[in-house]
Amino acid sequence: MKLNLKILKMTGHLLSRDMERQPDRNPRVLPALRVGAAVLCILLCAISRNAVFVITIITVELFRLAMRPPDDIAHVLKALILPVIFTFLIMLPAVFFGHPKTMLTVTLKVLESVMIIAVLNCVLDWQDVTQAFGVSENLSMLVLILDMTMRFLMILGDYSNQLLEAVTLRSVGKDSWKHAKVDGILGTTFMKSRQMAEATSEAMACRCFDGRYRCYESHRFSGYDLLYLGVAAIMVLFFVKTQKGV
Amino acid sequence: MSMIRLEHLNYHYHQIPALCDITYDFEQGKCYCIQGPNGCGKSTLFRILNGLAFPTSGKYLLDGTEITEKKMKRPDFAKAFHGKIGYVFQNPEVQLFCKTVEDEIAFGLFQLGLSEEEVRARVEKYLKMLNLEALRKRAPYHLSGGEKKRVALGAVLAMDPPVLMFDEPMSGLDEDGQKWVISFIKSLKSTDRLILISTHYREVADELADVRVVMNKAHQII
Amino acid sequence: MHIPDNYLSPQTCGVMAAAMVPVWAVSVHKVKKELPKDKIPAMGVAAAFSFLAMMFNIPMPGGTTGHAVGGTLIAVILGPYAACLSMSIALLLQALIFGDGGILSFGANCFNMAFVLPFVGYGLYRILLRKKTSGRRELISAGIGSYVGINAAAFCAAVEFGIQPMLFRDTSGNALYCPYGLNVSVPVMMLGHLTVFGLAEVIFTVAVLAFVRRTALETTAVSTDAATPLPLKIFLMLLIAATPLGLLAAGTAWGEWDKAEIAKTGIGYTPKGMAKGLTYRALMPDYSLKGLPAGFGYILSALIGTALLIIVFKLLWRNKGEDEELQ
Repeated sequence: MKLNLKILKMTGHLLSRDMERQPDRNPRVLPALRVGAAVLCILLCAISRNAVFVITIITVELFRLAMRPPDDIAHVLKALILPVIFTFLIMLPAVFFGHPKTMLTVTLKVLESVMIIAVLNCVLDWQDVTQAFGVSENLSMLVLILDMTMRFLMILGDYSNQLLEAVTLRSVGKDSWKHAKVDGILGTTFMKSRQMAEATSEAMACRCFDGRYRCYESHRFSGYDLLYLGVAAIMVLFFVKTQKGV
Repeated sequence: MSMIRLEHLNYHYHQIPALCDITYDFEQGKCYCIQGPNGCGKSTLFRILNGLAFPTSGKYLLDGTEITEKKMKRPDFAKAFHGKIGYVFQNPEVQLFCKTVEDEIAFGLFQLGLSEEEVRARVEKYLKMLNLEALRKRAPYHLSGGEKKRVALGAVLAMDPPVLMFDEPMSGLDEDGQKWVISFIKSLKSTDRLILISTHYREVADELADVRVVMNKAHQII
Repeated sequence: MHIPDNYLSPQTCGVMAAAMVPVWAVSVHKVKKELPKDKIPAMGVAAAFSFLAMMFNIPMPGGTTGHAVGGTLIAVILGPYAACLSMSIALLLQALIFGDGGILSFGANCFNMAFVLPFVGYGLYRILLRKKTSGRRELISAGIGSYVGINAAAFCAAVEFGIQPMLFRDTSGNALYCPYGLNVSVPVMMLGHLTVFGLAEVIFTVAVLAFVRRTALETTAVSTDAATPLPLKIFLMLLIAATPLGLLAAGTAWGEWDKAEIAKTGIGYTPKGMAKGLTYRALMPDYSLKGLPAGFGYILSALIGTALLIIVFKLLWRNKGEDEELQ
């Protein structure tokens, strides 16, 4: 039984980002705008029939990345390497099956979409990403559920890791991790998660929860938002122009 | 007149008795410390008082209204009931579920249906009161034990309930944190509230209690 | 099984997402009725748990490891509708925050892992279980259900991949998205899932379910009799049957639009030989900057170079900084 360290690394990264959160920190641009623009960008790239648009987007993203602190750059690059190499390898045989172009277009587009999401998560904290769903009254409940999932994820990840450490300490011998109780660790984590769900629902009831949720954070529409909308509009115009040429 | 009235309250959990024939009156403006060994039923009593569990037999009256499982099924009744009682859980981990400290304090206020300005005013007030301003954008579950306790207190106090219940307020706190909690609860006492504290620390009861309620292993109040 | 963006065409993604909308609507409705009290934290916890389950490597015979998805387990314990919603939540977070699986392909990923997997797994579990609830029989039913469930999901993903080259090609016949047909995608996907991943799913489901049933009978009594009413069953079956049709429809619609568009721009009259020549001459003919100033390509490459330089420089500086700290 081994825990993939990925989750601890991921939650660790989130944790450190969270510790740095400043009390006066307010996103300059409405998070929903940023997330929306990122999704739009990925969509446009996906339906783009030529590479000009995709390469331009990659260029812009590279520049945005270059402006980030080195730690962020390293984080984004790490996130990029695996999917891109994986895609490249998967698409490689296609060259010999008579689709020589596909390999490059798909690999480039995968690079582009993974990069957009990775850069987005550098600019925004996960709290802001989930906050993006709060723009609609109907979806605001989703914000609460997503936040709660993130919280449970961190707590349960931590918990299962502690269990795993305890089991490792108790077991002697080289291959003993194989016999360590898979069911015990996962089962106990599961029981713990059920208890936490019940306790949380009680805590919510005690604070008069009635099925509605409103986010406290509010964002005033500012010049930055307008600017951002402008940039998004330019992106769409550019897309239309590049598609016409083909 | 008594704020909370318990009449011959019994509670069985899977046929095992947890509370036996409890009759007691809790009056407004006083601070009660409920003492007793582990497993004497303090937590169960608090769960019943908060409408999270219901007595097997006997009556629980809040402000003269009997609280029953059937009534609590009605959302408007349950909401009004929970609005009257502020409950600070023993383990703040389970009590904090929002993404930021300020969201946490605002949660209950929005549920009460207060206006946007009122909510903001109250959040600012309690952030200041509990010295949480520097932590306002942080996620509650990454805070230290003492900070979490303060957030939980703020979230409950902001709703301004006439009854306050603390389940083991000292657990998980260091010495400074414990001193702070005691002095803070003392400052709350001056207001016209009913406060219930469950604890097995004698010092807490010495400092805070107007009335001591002692429970024994037989799940009774003596 | 997380499909990234650009393996599937946006049309496919759109159809899959549209297919998920009624499923989500029905699930929200059912969950509101079945898990009234603690539905929101329960969703969050189940989502976090399945997320976590995917992070555990389960040891397999032969020294390999694999990870599970856990959809069937959650369906058995919380009911299939709750499983559908919590899996969708986990997938959304993975796509948006952890970069696992695409944004556009979110609908397709949900269709495979949040709809097909738990419903097939749970359905089979109920059929095998009948009315008896003896411990061993339940575990065996859940195990078989989870194995078939994950393979059904993998098969759906393989079909989604496999139809891409049939439906979406550019003018020179190159596949636009996943280039492999069904003859490649189905065997490749199924090979892994019939063996390693299927087994991991079975081990995971049976082990956790056994542990949960053994340790706490009272907490898991939540698994209410979530029998699916007949109209809903028919509806779900129709949906599964209709989705491929929708895919084909979207494909042809795109094709027609494409042809008309090509005719308008006059590209359609390009001699075939020339188009072919282009393909052989350069691997990426559509990287030629038609309709744009010739200098644009140079500007782009210059910009990319500059950005890369800054990135390399910053990374070097970062490593140096760390070295100094160590000393």
